[in-house]
Amino acid sequence: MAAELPNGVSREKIWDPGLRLFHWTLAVCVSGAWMLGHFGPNVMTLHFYFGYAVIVLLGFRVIWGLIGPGPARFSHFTYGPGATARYIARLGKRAPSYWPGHNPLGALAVFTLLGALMVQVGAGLFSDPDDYINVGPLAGMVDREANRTATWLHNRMAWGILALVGLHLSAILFYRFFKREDLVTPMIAGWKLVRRDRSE
Amino acid sequence: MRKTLIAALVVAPVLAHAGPAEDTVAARQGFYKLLGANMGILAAMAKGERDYEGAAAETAANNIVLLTTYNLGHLYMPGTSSAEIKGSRAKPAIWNEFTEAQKKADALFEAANKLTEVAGFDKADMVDALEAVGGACKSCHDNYRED
Repeated sequence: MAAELPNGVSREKIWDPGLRLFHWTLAVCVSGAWMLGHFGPNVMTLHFYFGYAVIVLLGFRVIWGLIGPGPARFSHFTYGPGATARYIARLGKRAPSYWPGHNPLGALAVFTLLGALMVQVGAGLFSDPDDYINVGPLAGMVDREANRTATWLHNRMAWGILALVGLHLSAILFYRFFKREDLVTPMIAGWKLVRRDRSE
Repeated sequence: MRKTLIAALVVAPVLAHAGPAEDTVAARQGFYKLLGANMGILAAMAKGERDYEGAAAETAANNIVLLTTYNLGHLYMPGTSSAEIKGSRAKPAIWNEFTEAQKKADALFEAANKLTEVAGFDKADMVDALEAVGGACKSCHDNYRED
């Protein structure tokens, strides 16, 4: 197996168990909350629970981004415009990236998605759709106008998040079929083929 | 037909001066505020924010039923959608698919009648019935109200 690996490429443990569990739980909770929001019963109790779970998960991700294992840390995947531009320039190359963690472009997607989810759960907490049964738990802390803005934002952001998730899945497919790099298995097993020497 | 034409001729110039349509929108929103005020009383009881008092719950539920029997026809005067009047949140879809929209009002009427049967008695029953009324609010807001 190891003999078949290209020169300079090695199999390394990249994603720790906490991060992997976070990723898949987040996927389930965001999908669940989204589906319940659009197709669920009028009494949205379960949607609220999924939303609270997303808040907890985002909290975990922020902590993990600050003190977690290497590749999970924000500092590990914060790249400047130069590195990002160089990565984009080689994106069309039909070969695996062998990137040891979030690549510069993927990192942008990660930050955008986490930010969007923070806005979304934040808006949900202050939302009041005037039905007296699905009122955000913090809606009473702000005025009616703010409730309405939060509801408006929450409804709009749902589509933004759908678009970001679509982009995320498209990127996975792009890597899988165009660049011939499997990014799903590493997020399940933790191991990934990486190249440390990027001087080529 | 002739009456409609005459009405249109009479109403059209007035609309340009921004009068009755705005008044209608204000009256319509007032109607829903009344509905909301009574819903608010029951919702506060359901959440335990205020004590569950049978008489007050019954009054609020009866008021809701009374409001759902009100003929809303004049409040949905053509020319009062969100596309036509600033401040209106009633989507033009209401007029484009009036029969469908009407069903939402019927659902509210039914839910309100069930609510009034139980309001004032067992709290759990009241909460269930209230959730059905809230669901009727939501279902119409989702389709026919601007965010």
